[in-house]
Amino acid sequence: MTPEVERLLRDHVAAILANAGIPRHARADLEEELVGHLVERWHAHAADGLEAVDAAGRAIADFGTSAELGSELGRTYHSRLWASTIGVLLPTVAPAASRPGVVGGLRFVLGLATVLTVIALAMTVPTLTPARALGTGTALVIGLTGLVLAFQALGRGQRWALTYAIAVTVILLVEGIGQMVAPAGPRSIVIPLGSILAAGVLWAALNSSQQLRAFVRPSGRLNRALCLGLSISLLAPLFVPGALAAMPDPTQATADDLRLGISMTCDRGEVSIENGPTLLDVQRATLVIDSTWSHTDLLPYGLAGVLTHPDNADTSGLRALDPRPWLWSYTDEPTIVDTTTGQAAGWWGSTSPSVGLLPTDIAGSLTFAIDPGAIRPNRTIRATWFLSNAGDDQQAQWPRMEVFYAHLDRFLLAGTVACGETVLGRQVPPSGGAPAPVLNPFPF
Amino acid sequence: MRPPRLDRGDFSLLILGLLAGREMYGYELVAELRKRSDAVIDLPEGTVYPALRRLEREGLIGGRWVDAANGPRRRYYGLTPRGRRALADGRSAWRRFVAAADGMLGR
Repeated sequence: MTPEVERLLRDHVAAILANAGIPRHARADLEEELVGHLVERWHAHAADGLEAVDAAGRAIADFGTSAELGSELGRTYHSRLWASTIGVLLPTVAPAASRPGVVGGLRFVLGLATVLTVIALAMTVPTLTPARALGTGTALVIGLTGLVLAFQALGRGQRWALTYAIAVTVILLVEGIGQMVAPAGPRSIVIPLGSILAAGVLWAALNSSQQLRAFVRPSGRLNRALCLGLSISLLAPLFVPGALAAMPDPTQATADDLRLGISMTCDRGEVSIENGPTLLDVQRATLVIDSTWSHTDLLPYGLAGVLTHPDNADTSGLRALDPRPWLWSYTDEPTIVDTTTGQAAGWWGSTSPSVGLLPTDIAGSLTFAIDPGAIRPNRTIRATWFLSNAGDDQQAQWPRMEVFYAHLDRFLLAGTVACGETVLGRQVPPSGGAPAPVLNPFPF
Repeated sequence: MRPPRLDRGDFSLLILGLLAGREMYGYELVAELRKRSDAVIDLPEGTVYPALRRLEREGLIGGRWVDAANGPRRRYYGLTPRGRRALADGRSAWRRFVAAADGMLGR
């Protein structure tokens, strides 16, 4: 037996074992047994007068294809699930020597998509709320699995992987065009490098379509379940994150979970000016804002929020309505306390991003922030404002006060109260600006 | 019309039947299968090895390496007691099946 014949026979056995995914420790005996069979068959064909290499080819043909035998052997070493998925998707059906050059380009696109998906998984998912993180993470992992499998299978001549790679390349092309046509900002200029790459690879694939078809021809067709699974792995990362962003996350509080009670009492009396005189018979108003949550957010900024502690306090603010606003003075600083413990639960003058949801004329000393750590289900945080008429006309009409409460960057409640009234705040559209849109984390 | 085909269970039963007489190694099994079936059963030769692995895992056959006088050593397989019982059960089930099929197809 010549070295070339021995190499041919051993290569065939190696391909079978690789396709079977047999653990290394179990390979040696099986390899010896299979090579022994092929050698004996080769001897039989050689004895019949065939040339050495021809006899090897016949022995290999008699033995069966590496894809079929690998798949069959894989079933005996792995679970049914493995055998019916990996065992079908990954067998080598075409020799590497017959691989057209454009396969390298398609695999580069798959590799690029894989890397970008890993980055999205690492960077985006930890910032999402739990249900969205779970759904988005699952979709990205499913997509990642499809990409990795396709990368491997395309090098082995699998037809499904070629279709998958072309689909990913088309998506890359379309996404880049979409970003160019509708850039994120009005002054943004997008140079779609991904699209340029994708267009080049697709052009090359089109020019090599004959060779590509020949390369994947030996591979079989997949059953419907696998086709469905691969389609899901392709589409889930594209659509699931956006769909989840549009749906409420049950782990997060909504406006319905916040009871915002607003009451105001008015009277006349003394007001002591710090380091100044005591004024008599001044118009005074005491405004009480009670916020009670029936359900609070779970990890509102995801796991990343636990580590980075974003400045994510809620903000409440107020303003006086017509006929003419009072000239306000604060007879005392507002107090913000947890009514159960009496502990301070916030501070006067919010600089949290939630200020952005309030009307633009409400800022600074007209606001207070609620410490996010103080918000507990079924506990009330009470803010009390002590106000007085600082003008000369102490017979002025009593004002109506409009109170706002902005929860993070998510929603805004408002209510208007007059002297002696108690009202509940209701959800209103954000006044200062819409919350930041949730970005599609899929990287294409 | 497509000719009848062996499924995995049938093929395993045939291997048990062949090994009931004596121990054999893979190449020999294939040759014997072809000879006894007048080449009617002519599967790719490698197909026998997944079947042997499966039967060995199920404890129906046992294998041992035997040095060959000239050439590489060979792995011989023989029936275990459990394999003999499985063969007896499979044989009677097969005969019932064939009799039933004959009843419909005619002899």
